[in-house]
Amino acid sequence: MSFCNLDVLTMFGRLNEVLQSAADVLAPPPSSYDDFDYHWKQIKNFYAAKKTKLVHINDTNIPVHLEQMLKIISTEQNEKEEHESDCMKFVLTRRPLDLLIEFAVTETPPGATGCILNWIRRFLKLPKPHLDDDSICQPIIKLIQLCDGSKASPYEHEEILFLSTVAGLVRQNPNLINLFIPAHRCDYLTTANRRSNTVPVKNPLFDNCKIEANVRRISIVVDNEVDAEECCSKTIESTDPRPECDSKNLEISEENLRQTCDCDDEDRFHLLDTITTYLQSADNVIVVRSCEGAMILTSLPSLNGTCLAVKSSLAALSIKIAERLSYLCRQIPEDMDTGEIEDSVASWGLNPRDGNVSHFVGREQLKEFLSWLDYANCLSNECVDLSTYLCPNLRVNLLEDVVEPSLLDDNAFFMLVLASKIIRQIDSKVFSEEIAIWLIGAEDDTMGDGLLTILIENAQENSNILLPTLQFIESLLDNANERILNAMIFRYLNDRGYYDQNSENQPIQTWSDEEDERERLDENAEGVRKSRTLAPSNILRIINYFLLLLPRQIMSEGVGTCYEEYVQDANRHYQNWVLKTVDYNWPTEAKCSSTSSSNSTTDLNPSFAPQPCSSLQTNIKKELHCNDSGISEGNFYEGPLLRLLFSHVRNMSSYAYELNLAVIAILSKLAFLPHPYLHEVLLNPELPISKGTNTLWSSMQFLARQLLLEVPRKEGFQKKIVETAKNLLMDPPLMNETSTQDDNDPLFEALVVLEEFCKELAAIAFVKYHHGTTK
Amino acid sequence: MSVGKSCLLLQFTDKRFQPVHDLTIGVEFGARMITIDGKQIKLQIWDTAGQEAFRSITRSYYRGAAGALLVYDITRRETFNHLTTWLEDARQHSNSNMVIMLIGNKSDLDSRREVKKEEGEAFAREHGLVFMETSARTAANVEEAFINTAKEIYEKIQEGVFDINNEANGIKIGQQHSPTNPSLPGQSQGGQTGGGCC
Repeated sequence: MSFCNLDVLTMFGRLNEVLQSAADVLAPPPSSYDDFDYHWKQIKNFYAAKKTKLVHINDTNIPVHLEQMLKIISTEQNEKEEHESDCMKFVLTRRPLDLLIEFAVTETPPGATGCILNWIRRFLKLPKPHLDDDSICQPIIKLIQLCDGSKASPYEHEEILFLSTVAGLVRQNPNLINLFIPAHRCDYLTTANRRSNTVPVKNPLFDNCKIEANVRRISIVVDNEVDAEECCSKTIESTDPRPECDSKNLEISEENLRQTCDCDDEDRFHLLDTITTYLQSADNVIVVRSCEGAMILTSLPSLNGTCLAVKSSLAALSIKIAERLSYLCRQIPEDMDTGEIEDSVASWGLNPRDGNVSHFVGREQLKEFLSWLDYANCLSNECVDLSTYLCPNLRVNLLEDVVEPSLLDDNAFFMLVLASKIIRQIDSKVFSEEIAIWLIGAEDDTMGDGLLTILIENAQENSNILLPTLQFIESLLDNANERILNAMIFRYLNDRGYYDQNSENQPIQTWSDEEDERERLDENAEGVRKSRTLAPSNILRIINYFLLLLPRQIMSEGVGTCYEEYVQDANRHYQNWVLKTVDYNWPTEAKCSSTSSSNSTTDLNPSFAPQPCSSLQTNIKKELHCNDSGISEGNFYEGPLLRLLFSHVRNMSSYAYELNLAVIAILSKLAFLPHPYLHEVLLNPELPISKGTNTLWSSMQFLARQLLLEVPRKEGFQKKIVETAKNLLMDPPLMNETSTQDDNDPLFEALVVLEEFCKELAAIAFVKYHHGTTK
Repeated sequence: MSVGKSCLLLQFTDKRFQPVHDLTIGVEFGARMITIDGKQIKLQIWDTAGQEAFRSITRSYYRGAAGALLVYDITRRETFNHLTTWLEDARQHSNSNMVIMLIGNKSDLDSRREVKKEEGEAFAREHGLVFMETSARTAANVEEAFINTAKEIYEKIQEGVFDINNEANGIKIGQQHSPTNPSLPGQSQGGQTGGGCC
């Protein structure tokens, strides 16, 4: 039986072949156009039959026909690279997409939306999808309107993939952005189509026309075509300040930059709005796709920050992100291990699920928060126009509303650690400036009273929060901001109130004046000015001061790191600091301002005064400004931070080892800063200081005297010094908990810390000198 | 028209070739377990968009990567010419210790070759990269490309170049098999991105 069947089939098969070849002779095989038309007719027939409510789309032939249509058009486009494919012409003229989108909107038959979203997405990935043709663009926009991430949808996945494909197309051809801002669309389509037909792309005639504000609305009227062209090319060509971004795709003309369009407050950049509705999705992959979509759209070089539609959408996005972050920040449990906050690493993006990670309280919340923070930071780096909305919003919603209250209440410990983490995580300049506004206020002149001052003073009073406050300050140094540094340190030093002016007749005058001659020569020889203050000729004496601060009998020589090793590290760090601070408007030399040193006649007259930097207007201004600050001589206040640090150094022997380490970590970072006044206060033991003034050196001397008094009183102190040094300097250090009682006496720990610190400071002073004297 | 990064990844993770791939817009992700030096290592691989237009996204992924495969197409000279800018971008945004392997893909299409193997080698030598020609279609050298990159990362870990305690380097230690030997990673994960040019 089966044999028989097979026979019949074979027979039919042959017959088929014969018939086919006969048919080929009589009529040629159908063209791809006919094929395409055939499949489209089949789809239309299905809908004409009106059984559409009964079957799921996957149980119909529609997916097969759609697939065939895509296949035909794709083959045709790949074969005919030069000429437009016939089937694409079919799509452009007979507009099958209109109908398809209609079915997607009405979800007929069931399942149609997902199927058509997928099909359109793949259609858009054709070599030439003609998105800028009305017959494609209209249905696509309709389909975008169908997508809404804030509503529950079974097609969330298909929707976001479709949206990111559209976003991707726009990013590859930035002018297409105009299709998705309703007020720009009409003009853009007119231009795009006419461009492809008749109008030369670069016609100087179109560059200089003036347009009336209302021309755009009636731009399809033939008489105004020239103006319409002009209007469009302005919106299209208004571009990006960042030259590396695809500028070749845009015809940039200086006059056209930032030309305003006539969008009003109601207009929006719909594609961006829609894509960001998916930021709220419960599915993490969809959120990442949404983030990616928002990023490629906001990094568009054609994004015009002066267009009201774009503005509204960017503002809405930034509010969304800022609110998200403030919500997530509130979710982090305050009782979580703060060590986990410091160690946590999180970045936004597609990350695999992690099977074997340590679980701790608050891990998920923390990771989520940090990933979003990273995303916000990346976004504000990519898009200047967005960052001007996003960063102030982050300051208000996150820093002022959530972080600040906790910093000032019982949760200060936790929040200081988290705030340090936030500061370390960001590298956006705009964000950094907002942090400055948050911590020290919007204006530079306000002395004290800023949040930062309050935080530092709180730590002085409450030793429980000293350590996280020091970490917080360290984060401000690691991710430095000029205004914050100034408010925290320099504005207290810039009038040189610490300096004893009555000492001018001593052998070493202003300790750097002696090198005027050499410096003047150097200045002529090279463009970059080197500071005498940072490279004094008495460097050897300075190094010896540090290295010989402690008498040999209470030193643990041979155990700790040698001075030379510190030099290597210091050299690397210093070069980093010089790079980081190169654009800062810092003075080069420490010198007394002319009014306060009026006893010296030469100083009054700049032409006689040996002041190489007097030519710098900015420095003079700066000094004058400082003179106005109202701090009188002899009443020197070093600012809350230096006061805290110096007083800690003086009392080091009564503090815990970790605190001492945190303090010297900050002090050594400060010592690296190539700022002349701070340099004097931290690194110049020979500096004549006014009465009652603390410098780092005077504080260290105080501590050394105390140690010298108390250490030798302890039994077997020399052995103890060596042991403590060994314990602390091994890796990892052996701390109080693990070693026997009384092994690490705070007194001895302070001694070891001081000894190492001295070597480090000597190395820093040497490196700065070396850097200042070599080319 | 791509150089074949997604195909390389698919060949490595699934051992199959799929000639038509959607253009990658953001990033895709793949993972595979391999064994180096008797140790189980999970490679996490990000397949990044090669289009210039999507660099804002791809940049974000350089940061956590321990290694990268920089891919060009031996049948298209322009992809080779683009390497310098990709390399600069990668070096600028990544950990300075990131291992970078240069891959000339589509070695099966030798008849259409536009970039000589020697040129690839010379570029790699000049920029301190490891070089290999692969074919995602025939799977030639695909295993080797990924595994050699992983080996190089592994060696750097052994030499202490990577700080394995810092997750930001793209390396994470799994459960320790021998608690007495904390310096050896029991199971490490080397994140890698496949950079490339369109």
